[in-house]
Amino acid sequence: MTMILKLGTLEIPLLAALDLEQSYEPIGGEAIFRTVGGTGLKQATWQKTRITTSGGGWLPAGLESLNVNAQLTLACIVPRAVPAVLATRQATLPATRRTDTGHTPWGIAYLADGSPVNTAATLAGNVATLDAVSGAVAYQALYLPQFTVWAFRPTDSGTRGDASYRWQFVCEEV
Amino acid sequence: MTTRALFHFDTDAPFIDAVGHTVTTTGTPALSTATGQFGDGVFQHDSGGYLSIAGSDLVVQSWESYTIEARVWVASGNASSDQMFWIATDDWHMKLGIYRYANDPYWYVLASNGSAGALLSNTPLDLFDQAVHIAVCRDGSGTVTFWVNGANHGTEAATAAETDAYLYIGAISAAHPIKFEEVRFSTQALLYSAPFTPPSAPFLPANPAVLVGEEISLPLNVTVGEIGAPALPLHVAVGETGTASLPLSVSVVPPGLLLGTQSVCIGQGTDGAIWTAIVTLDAVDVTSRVVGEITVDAEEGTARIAEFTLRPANGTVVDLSAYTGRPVTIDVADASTGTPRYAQRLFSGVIDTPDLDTASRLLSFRCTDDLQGRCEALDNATLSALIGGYASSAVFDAAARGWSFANDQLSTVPASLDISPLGQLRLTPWAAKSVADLVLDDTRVRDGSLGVEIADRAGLVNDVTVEFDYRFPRVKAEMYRVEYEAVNMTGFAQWILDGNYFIQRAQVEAALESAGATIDQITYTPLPTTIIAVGSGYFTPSAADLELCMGFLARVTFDYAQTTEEQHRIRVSNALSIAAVGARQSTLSGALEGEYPDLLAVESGIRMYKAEITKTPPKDMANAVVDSTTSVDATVTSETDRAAANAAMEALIAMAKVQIHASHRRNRVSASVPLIPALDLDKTLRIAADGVAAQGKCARVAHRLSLETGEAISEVQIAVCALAGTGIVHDDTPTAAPDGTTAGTTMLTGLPQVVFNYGATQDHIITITFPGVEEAERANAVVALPSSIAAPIDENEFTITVEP
Repeated sequence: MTMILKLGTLEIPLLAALDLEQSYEPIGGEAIFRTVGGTGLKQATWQKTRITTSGGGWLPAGLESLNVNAQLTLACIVPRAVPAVLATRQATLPATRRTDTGHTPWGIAYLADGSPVNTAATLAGNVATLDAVSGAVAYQALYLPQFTVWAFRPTDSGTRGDASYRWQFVCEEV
Repeated sequence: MTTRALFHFDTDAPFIDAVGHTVTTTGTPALSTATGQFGDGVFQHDSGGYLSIAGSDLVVQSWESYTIEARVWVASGNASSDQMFWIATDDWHMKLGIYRYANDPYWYVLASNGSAGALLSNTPLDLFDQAVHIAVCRDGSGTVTFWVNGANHGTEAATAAETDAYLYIGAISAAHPIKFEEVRFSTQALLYSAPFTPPSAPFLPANPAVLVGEEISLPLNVTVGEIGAPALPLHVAVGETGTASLPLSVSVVPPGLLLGTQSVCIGQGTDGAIWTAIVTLDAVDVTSRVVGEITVDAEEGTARIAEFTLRPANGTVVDLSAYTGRPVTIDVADASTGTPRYAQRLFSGVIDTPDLDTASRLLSFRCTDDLQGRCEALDNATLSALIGGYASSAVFDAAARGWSFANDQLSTVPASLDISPLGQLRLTPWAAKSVADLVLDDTRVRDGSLGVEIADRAGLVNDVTVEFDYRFPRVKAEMYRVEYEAVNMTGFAQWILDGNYFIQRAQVEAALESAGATIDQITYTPLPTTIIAVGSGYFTPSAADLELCMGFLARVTFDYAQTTEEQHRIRVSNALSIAAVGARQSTLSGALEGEYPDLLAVESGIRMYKAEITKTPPKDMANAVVDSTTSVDATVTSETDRAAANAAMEALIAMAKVQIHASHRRNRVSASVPLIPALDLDKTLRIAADGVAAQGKCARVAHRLSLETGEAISEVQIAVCALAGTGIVHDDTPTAAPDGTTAGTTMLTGLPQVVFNYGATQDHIITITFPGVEEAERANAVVALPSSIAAPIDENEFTITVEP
């Protein structure tokens, strides 16, 4: 099943997102205090995520229909990974993830030669248990993040010459 | 230790778990009306009745220790049935219970070994109809031990973790109910590993939270670190009639945070620090609306100031004036677990100035701890008890109150008054402690932030002249002996033949009185009382002779009042400072005049009394001594007497000492460190970094918290007093007024002169003249009294080593 990027009630059509890029940037207070002795002391406060999504395709995305003055749910399309404990093949995933059909977590098993093998994941709460893969030396649980965000007003453009359209929107976790 | 379930069983319908789980009942467990050891009742289950709670936090990991404990009452009698109750998980891997065999006069504590099996206490128990403390403890390796009233009743190795997310309290079957109260289940808690005294108070959770309708007692343990009396000052202000409440907040934090050796803004070990601020406005948490930087600035002698900015929610109606005076608190807390903990107060105060930026929609607040206002609300007795010092209506304004009075007192005390972050008024001596409360070294001081400011010579004071003039009246009395013999019996006959006159007694008294003297005593040499042959005739005594005399001896006094002026010139100085930098002089002055009725009226009153014209003795009168001038200090008002003069001089001396000390502690060493809430104006700090080693009282601390950049900084300044080197002890003369003059007695040096014109052709007038006031007595009117007082200063560590 093809994964679909969603923002609020808007599902970005596949033809509008043939080329898609999504970046996750942590935002929040973070500083390193350097002492006279040269030691660095790290200080941090809250941490949220800024998600920048851009894409393009043969059709416009329809982002102008979004009400950016309300909080929206951003169901992301670029997966993130959490290493699993080898012995138990378990990893605790963040609660803020997609659970819709076709977008549930899955696993990757790494063989000794580094090659990855897809494997299924079973969820119990936020704990994902990956199916065993023979010869695996490491496992990773992958998931698609989902955030409640404030969206900045999107931008879009198009090129008549090659009938292509590009769009971008930036969201920040509430 | 984390408490997972806690039941006091003081109420039912519903039963309450103090940790917060929803309690489900099965069957009809009920609250007994029997009186429990604590609270209102006990839980008594009936046959098949039990409580249950559920939650993922009830799962025990294989490596976790836990403790289940309860206080139970086992009823005596009934030998026919088992009596059992359980505190257990659904699969029985974790349980504590009571077991009694049929017809067995005893009972056993029952615990789990990690499997579905059960262990019985190794000793049968004959403890009926009384509160018994029972507990089962499992350590991290799985060994289970159970305890009865603090004694070990069995140990067994066990294995399994507890993955069941349920807990049951109640009966599987019971013919005779067990009563129990106080049930607690805690993980990461091996509470009992050696014989112990059972708790005598209701169980407390690791993080006490009192639910609505529930009461708990919170034992308070105050440890006194040094000789003295622990004090818990409380101040309750009742604004209107009714019942005053005293909300009490208790925050348990690791001791390192209180001492400053740790900070929520400094990570532990290899972890970074994740911190957050907690800002409340009018008791409402507004942290989520705070933007920008929060600053808290405290400096000696001024109120603590805080500033922060809020972004109100859209649609908020803002009434700026309504914010003024609203209470504000600012805390900093650890946020590494996602939930703020170990909150420490940085500021308590009120909003002084609200401001709205209409362009950015930001509300900014400047807040104060209202040091001046707090002092204004206190009476002088309270301020005096807090500050101490020297008071004098001759030096300070007697009508001063509140902040003005406090400043007057503070001018005589080498200390600073401020309000703590928790809102308590406190006095901190300038003298640094011998051992610093906190050391800020290379591991704390920000690179490039160290600053040193040396006090300029022009601002130094080491030689203060206190000029104090005290004028007051003294009552004096001169007593002269006046002795005169005009004629004696040897020349008596010739005296008469010569036609000379005898002295009239009345003339003598008139002459004395016209000279201004008061006759104290007078005796006359009478004329003969027998017939004396005179030439060819005779002298025959007559009644008129009683008015005459041949001579007299009198004691007379002159009473007068004199204003004495003592001119005290007290030099308060520090010799070592003068030797080092030369004399840097200053002057303090004051004066006092003794209040007394008009002196002329006083003198008249004495004379009238001595002349027995009036029977009312004067208030003050010198006791005359012959051939002497005696004096006595007049009784002046209590506001102007010797004690008041001494108090004034002591206040001035104290002010001079404070002036000298203050001028020498203007050296400042400053540094920036990661925010340490314990840094405050009452601390002695040692800064040892980058070649600078200095110790002194904290004179200023500014906390800056930026939630957006993540930076939390404390900028500190210490006041360093350094002159001759650490360890040097300066001379210190006690602050005491110098002695003044004393009323005394001096000898009269002059003599009265008596002239009697006794010849037949003379005027027969007797004239008596007395010397004027003794020159020495006249000189006593103005007396110069110089004295010296040594004023000490501290010697703090202060070295600077230039390093490559």
